[in-house]
Amino acid sequence: MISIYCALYQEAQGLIKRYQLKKEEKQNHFQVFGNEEAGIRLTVTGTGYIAAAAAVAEISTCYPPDFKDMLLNFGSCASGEYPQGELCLCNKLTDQTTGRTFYPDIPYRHPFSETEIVSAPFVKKAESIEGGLYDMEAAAVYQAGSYYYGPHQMLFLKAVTDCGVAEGAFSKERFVSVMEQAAERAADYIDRIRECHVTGEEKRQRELERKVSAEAEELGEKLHCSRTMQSELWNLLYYWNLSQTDYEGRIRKYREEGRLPAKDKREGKKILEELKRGLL
Amino acid sequence: MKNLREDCYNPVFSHIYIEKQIKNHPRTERILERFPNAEIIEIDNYKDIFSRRGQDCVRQHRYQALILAKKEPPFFYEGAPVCQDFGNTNFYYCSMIRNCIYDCDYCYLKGMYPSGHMVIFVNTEDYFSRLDEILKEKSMYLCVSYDADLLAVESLAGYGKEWVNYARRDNLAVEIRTKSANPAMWENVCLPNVIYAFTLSPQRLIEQNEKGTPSVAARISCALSGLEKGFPVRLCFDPMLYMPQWREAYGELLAELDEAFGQRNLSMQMLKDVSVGCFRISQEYMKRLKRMEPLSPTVQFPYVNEGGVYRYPKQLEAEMEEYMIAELSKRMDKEKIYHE
Repeated sequence: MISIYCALYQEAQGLIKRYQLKKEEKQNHFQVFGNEEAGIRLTVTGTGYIAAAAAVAEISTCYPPDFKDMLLNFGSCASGEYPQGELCLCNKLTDQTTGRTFYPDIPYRHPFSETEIVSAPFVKKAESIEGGLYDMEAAAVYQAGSYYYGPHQMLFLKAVTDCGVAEGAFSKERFVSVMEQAAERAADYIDRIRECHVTGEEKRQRELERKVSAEAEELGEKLHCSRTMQSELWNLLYYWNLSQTDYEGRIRKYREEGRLPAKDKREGKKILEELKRGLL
Repeated sequence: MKNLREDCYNPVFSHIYIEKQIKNHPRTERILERFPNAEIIEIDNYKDIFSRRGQDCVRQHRYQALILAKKEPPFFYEGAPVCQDFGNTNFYYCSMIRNCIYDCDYCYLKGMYPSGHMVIFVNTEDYFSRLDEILKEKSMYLCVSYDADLLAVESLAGYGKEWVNYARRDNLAVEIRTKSANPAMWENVCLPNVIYAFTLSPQRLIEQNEKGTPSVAARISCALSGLEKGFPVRLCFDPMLYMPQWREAYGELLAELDEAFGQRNLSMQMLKDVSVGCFRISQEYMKRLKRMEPLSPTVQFPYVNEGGVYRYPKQLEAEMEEYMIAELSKRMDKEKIYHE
């Protein structure tokens, strides 16, 4: 699942269209749009640190992410350096209030400009905009997100829409148009990296764990395993599977000899010890 | 502008983080010259990258970033009890580089460090001036390539050569441990107190566990070139790794050594010494390593915890080490064989 956080609906609507996201009714505090099949959940957080951090915390608590999940903070930003419409990937996020800086990993190749963003608690005035990017959420999203995601799981994509507050500088229509174009490019990128994010090894690990759990449950019952024995059995089965040790032949032999199922826990423990000695 | 290609990960060292305080250090500038297209990101402290929570060391090896930093004291640490001191007193180690370019499944660094990115401390002059002070008081046996493989990144950092140049003194012995096979190391001055220690494993275990490392044939060939030139060379059969056919695998390794020594008219007697030791690791590191390497049979072996150290069951460990010691004893004096 990719969890996308946007401050404004106007920033989100391109992605909502692209992924055909439907509004989830059960969320009270934030507007959430999802498409289970596409593996996308998008939350409109509202502007500013607190709103962004609260949204990340609430959604991540309701849907705890695991290793294969990613967080994307997608939105608009101001810049005195990059032209309007430029979509940038942020490698350095500074919280202007505290002065603290955070660094998401940049694991994947990308076609964007890579730069720093400063998150401020208010909209920056044009005259105070220098190089780099400015927004109001990225650093907060990172800080809240880091309770749930590793630095390799968080992406910060920001489209330049303006160069700070200036009288009549920007129309709503223009803003929406810039964000929709940025959403298309962001979505193309998301679609490509999500394939690499869950590696073959991770899939193999999950499959192996499922297989071993089923085997351990079945065999554990027959050996009358205590919790400690069960855990030891799980580890042994996991290792034997990985090292392609022929444990199944041995177990079959016990069955044929009538020793399995074991008559009690003591006998089960003895068989487990024999298996361990014989197969290491 | 970068493009998405079939290989979706960024290349190693595509991102270089530099502490502001050393951005103009000559070593920083020299290293950066090697990476004209890298994304350079200034940071306040290397720990801002290295110590972030939730990092995936294994995945990070695929797009390993480089961090250039200044090391603050202490510069030298006492050798750990699980490490071999080869009969030396005042056994210390130091890390001018943290993390390795190689990606060995069983490496304790994955259990020790929160990050897979590589840190190079550029202020080697501070290490050397501190060592000047220590050596006025006592001698030292110093392992300089524990928390990284210095010689594997010699063309980048050049720290192997720096150590050789520093080591022209009586009361210091330096061990540079490596899995690399670059014969350029033999262009260094040959000193009796700088020992080049090559870690050797059977090829099938290298293929299974030591991603990105040179083949055992290349390592042996490189070690023998040094021996021919009169350098002190140590061979480390440490860690010995278990696999169901371990005896056959280590037998092949010994046969390969015999052949290589024979072809060059060399004898294992010419080695400075050898070390033998089965894989062992502290329980703290193992816990993390197991999480990091879920598909490595070597890491997922059901080790036994003895006094906070995970190791093979006693009988297996003894069998493996005794086998290797017995075989090596046929080829060299027993006094030159060290084992934990």
